[in-house]
Amino acid sequence: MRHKIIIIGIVVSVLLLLIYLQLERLERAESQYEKFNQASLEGRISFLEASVGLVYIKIEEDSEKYAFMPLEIAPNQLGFYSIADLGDSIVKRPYSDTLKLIKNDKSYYYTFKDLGN
Amino acid sequence: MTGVDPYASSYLDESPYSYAGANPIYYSDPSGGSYADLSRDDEFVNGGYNVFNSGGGSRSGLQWANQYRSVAMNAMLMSTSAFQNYYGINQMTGQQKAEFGRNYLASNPTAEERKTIGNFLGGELASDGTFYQTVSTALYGSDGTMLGAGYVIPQKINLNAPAFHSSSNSGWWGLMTDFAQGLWNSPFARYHVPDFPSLGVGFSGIAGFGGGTSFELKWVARGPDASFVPAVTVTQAVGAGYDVSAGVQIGGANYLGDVQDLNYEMLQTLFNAGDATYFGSAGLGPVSLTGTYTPTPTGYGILGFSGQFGPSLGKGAGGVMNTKFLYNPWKN
Repeated sequence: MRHKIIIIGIVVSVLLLLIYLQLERLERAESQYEKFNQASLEGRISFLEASVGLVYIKIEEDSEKYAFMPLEIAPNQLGFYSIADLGDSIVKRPYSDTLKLIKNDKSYYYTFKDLGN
Repeated sequence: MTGVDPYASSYLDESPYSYAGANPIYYSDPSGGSYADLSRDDEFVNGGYNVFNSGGGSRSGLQWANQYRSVAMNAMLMSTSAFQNYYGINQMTGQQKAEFGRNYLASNPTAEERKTIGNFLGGELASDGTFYQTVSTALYGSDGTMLGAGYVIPQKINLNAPAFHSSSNSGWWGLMTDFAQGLWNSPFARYHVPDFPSLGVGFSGIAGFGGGTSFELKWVARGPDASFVPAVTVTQAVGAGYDVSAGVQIGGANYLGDVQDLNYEMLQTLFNAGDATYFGSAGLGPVSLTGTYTPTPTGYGILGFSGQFGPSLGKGAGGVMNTKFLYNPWKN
């Protein structure tokens, strides 16, 4: 019986811990999205990375790191992280729901998931 | 029919053999009466033209020429407002505008024509059929205050997003495809076949504290990035407990949110981005079972499960894992 209680206690603790970690990640995503949403981005990409669905970018002459979750807007269009490379340009206006990626004089448009709610 | 042309006195300087002022592109004359400037929204009434540009009165008369011209030709000849009125652009929803644009693309317009139609639709029409509606919105600060009245910024609204494409196919094949897709994305199918199946090899050396490494092939089985081609990933784990094992790993992971959110960037979990996959493992003889959970920014995590088959010592362990692409087939 005591053995059972310990196991149940461990399982419940793990579940509570995971719920806490998920809520903490969600809260961090909201602030990341808010920062990205307000930003006016125009320039060359100097940093590019992806983790758990988010793409992280930095723009030249801007030390801030921005994170967003890109969505392809046309069927069969490659994802942002697939196409974008260091040195490509992006343009995004504040509060715009669309980001423009310019690569080799060709423009690609992406929307992004609203993580603000 | 013979007789004197009733309009002869109106065109004394023109040859009686010429049609529409010898300029059939710019003018038209279906009745042999007076010819009219097609760039104007005139109406053909009783063999002649009733200039009707004021917008007042009934428009029951037939704007006959418009219906025989292509959309591109009408766009070239009509003013913006005339084009929008004729095609009812202003009464269209954004989705209908996008549909109008896509239908128009079937006529293989030039880039210039596409740009013109995009302008008339109130946005940009991309060559792939995506329509970006331009709207204006006031700019607000983060505290909700308006940053100057009348200061507006253009904003492109994508109207070609998956939400507007409930069915991308038509006919029986489309129905079958949609049905198969619905079945594949159903909770039943997701329960039996994970969103991210994986196959690999790995070892764990946790005795008290320690770590492990595994190399895996990982597939994205659903969502916009679904592919038969796997990515190759390396996972590094650090943890505490007692789990010393090595072997072949088979497993998978499911995203707990909507299929449309799935993307291949979810395969990667980086410590330096502040992310981690949390794991717990249990040794059961020659099999070591591992459960994982990765919090994601959408609020729905990724739940994983795998079995490692091979020599195994220990009872169990727990810790965190970092996963990185070694080979990414989606990256150019």
